[in-house]
Amino acid sequence: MGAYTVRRLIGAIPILFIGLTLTFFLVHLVPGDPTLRFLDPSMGSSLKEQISEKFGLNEPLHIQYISWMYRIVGHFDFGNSFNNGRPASDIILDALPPTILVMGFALICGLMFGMIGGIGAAIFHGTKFDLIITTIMLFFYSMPVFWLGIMLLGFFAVNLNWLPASQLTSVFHDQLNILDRFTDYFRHLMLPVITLGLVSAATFGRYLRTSMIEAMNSGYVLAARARGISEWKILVNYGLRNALIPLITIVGMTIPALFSGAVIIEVVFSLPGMGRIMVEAVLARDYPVVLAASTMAFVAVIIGNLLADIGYAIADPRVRLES
Amino acid sequence: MGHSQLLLSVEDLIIHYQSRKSTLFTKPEIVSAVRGVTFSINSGETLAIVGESGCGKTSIVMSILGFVKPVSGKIKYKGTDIWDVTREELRGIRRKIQPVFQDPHHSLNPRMTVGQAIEDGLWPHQYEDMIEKQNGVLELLRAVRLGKEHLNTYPHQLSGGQKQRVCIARALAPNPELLILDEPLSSQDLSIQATLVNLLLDLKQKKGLTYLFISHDLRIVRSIAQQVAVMRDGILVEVSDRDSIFNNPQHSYTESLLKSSGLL
Amino acid sequence: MVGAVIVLIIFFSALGAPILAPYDVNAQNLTMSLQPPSTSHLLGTDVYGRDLLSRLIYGARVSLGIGLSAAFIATTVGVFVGVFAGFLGGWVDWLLMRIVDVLMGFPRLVVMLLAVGFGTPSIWLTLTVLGLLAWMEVARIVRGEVMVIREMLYLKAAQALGLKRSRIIMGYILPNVIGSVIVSTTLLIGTMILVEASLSFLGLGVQPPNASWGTILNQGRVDPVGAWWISAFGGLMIIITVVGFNLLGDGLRDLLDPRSLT
Repeated sequence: MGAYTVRRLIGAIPILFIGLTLTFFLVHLVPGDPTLRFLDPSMGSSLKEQISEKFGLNEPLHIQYISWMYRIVGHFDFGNSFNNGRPASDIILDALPPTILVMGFALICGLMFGMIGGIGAAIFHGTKFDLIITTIMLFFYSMPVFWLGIMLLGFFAVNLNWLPASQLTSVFHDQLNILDRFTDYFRHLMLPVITLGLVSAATFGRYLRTSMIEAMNSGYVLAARARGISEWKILVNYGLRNALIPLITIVGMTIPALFSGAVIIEVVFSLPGMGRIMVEAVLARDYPVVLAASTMAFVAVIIGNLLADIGYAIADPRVRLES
Repeated sequence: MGHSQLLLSVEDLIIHYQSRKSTLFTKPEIVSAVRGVTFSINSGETLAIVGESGCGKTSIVMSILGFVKPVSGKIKYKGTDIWDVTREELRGIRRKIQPVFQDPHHSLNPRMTVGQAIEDGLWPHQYEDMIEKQNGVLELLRAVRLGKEHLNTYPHQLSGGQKQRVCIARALAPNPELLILDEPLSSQDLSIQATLVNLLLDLKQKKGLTYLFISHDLRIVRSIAQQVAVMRDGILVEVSDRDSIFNNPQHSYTESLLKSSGLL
Repeated sequence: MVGAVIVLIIFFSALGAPILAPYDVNAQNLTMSLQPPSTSHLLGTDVYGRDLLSRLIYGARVSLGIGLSAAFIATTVGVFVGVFAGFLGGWVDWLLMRIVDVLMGFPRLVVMLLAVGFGTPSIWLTLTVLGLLAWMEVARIVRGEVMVIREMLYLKAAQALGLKRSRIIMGYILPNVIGSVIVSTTLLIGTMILVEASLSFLGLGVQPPNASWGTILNQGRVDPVGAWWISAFGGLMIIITVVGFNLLGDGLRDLLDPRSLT
């Protein structure tokens, strides 16, 4: 197990490296004078010079690339925000916990709903119930996440006024006792998590339904039925087991999408996470923060994928033996 | 004919397969499929290679066709080593050596009509116009006893025997000298096997072809081959003319093969 | 085929927008600002008093246009890369597939933000970036199929005929992958419409006065409860369209399943 983990970790290094390289060139190959992108053209040329100097924009591209890599890998230094002068890495590290909270809970929520929907539809395959569940899942699958967020926000937060509409904490959060603080977080996270959870549940549910139906129609299930094993046992031992293990891979594959979802959900619910920081930075043309945020997003996704792979290896011992 | 000219010679051929790709952490697992095989075919002759499945027959075929690079040994076509030529030269040689595989269904592009499949064999030829090209295709179809009505059909609309005829017609299209028949009859019913054997014998005579015939069925081999090579576990245990193989087998494995097919 | 019907209806209403739209898309009428649905304005009006139904019909042109073009770009790049990697194999394949891994691991919206954030948001930038960042899935599917086809006997037979590589690719490989390419392109159109909506919703995609469904939703965000009709109908439009493309894609998959061909 340990050897497998180490191997996966080593395997992630080139991916990370290629990713950082692509990020750098993506930003630097967009046409136009980079200094002009952040500055009002009417500003004096001396300021322009200063910025060019500061960010090494006068250097040839490959030198810029090497020093950028060196600063990130060696010093975790993305430069300082244009807006408030804070180190971009600090801003991002502050914003990371809310995003990870939303993503983590949404994943749990999504797996729960997805399993109920997918397995339920598969058990009652071909009935009206299956049709209804499948249709609902298709709708959530085809839905813009942010739209669902707006709808839930409008209904539960504004219309019914049951839950807070924005932010991670209430104004009086600091004065609350520990239990109430927890409840406060919970109430604030509820809507964003459910929004993202429902949309990812559709992905998981659709996958589970298909793979379970496939497993239930396979040769070994037919053989098991012929041996007189009860339908319920077949469902649990053959259908579920064969569908659930690959689900871990699907979860790993949806992590990037989940992150994208979290970004836009944070904007809808004004959560102080990575997504909102990044959107604001893009709108304000805060170059170092945008780069830092996207790099960190990428690293977070790689780690997520790594965890999914290792989880898969724990669940399915064959993986460790192969490759 | 008469004066026989050396067409294909295989010298000390060794072929390995990697059953697993090598990575940073694992050694590749090497399986040797062909372990030093030597034989030759004269122009106008039929050589059959007989052996059980998995003995390395198909590896030899894939190597002669230029798909699997041998570890060592030479494959010479009319004296030219096919693994020691430029891409362009190899293309020229390939057109003279045409394969017919065991499974006709997977040998035909499902998205091409019979006519298109055969036409591709004629393609680089100098045909004056479309009509002449069309006539060339029809001629080939007639040669394998199919008709104009099959021109625009797709493979899945044909029977197994018909598909194999199309494969033979396509193989004949570039005017080859050597036909490599890799178990061409094994996927067919017995009655169709008989008609296909007759077709192959007929074509050989009419077009002066040379056959390398791969099979595990000694009855068919007896009716078609002049020379027979018996293969087991990657080596040829016995190479001789047909009559000595069938009447006076030297190797015990040849004998057991003959016994199991009721020919001894 | 419900999917095909939905897609056709949306497609033709986008084409016939000038005839179908009851009002001029950009005609402002501040006295009619934020009117709820009524007989004169079936789906209500927006802040500037513009007819929502007309704007949604015209928005279909932009959203559908971006979805289709982005999916087309993505498919072209994906097929090219997939055939290249699958057919050549070796280190070319290795490198291309690592790039695919990396790009697929990147959260799509984040890369979009990165790219759009450093350029000037516009329809053209949106659809180019969208297209160029969505080809990976197609490339993976095509590569997988090409690797299978490469080992098929009919390809060996074609190579034995001494055919040129270009002929083998055009005649033997592409026709056999086209089925799954059509399916993934159809599904991709839906995804592209969703991503475009997200981007425009954030104000980084299509810029006013051009209206895509995403920009309309962005305007609805101001007051999702008081002016619920803007968000509600804008979102429904997107959902119906994307459901249409997903249904169509699934239907085509069943229809073009290679297993059903044999």
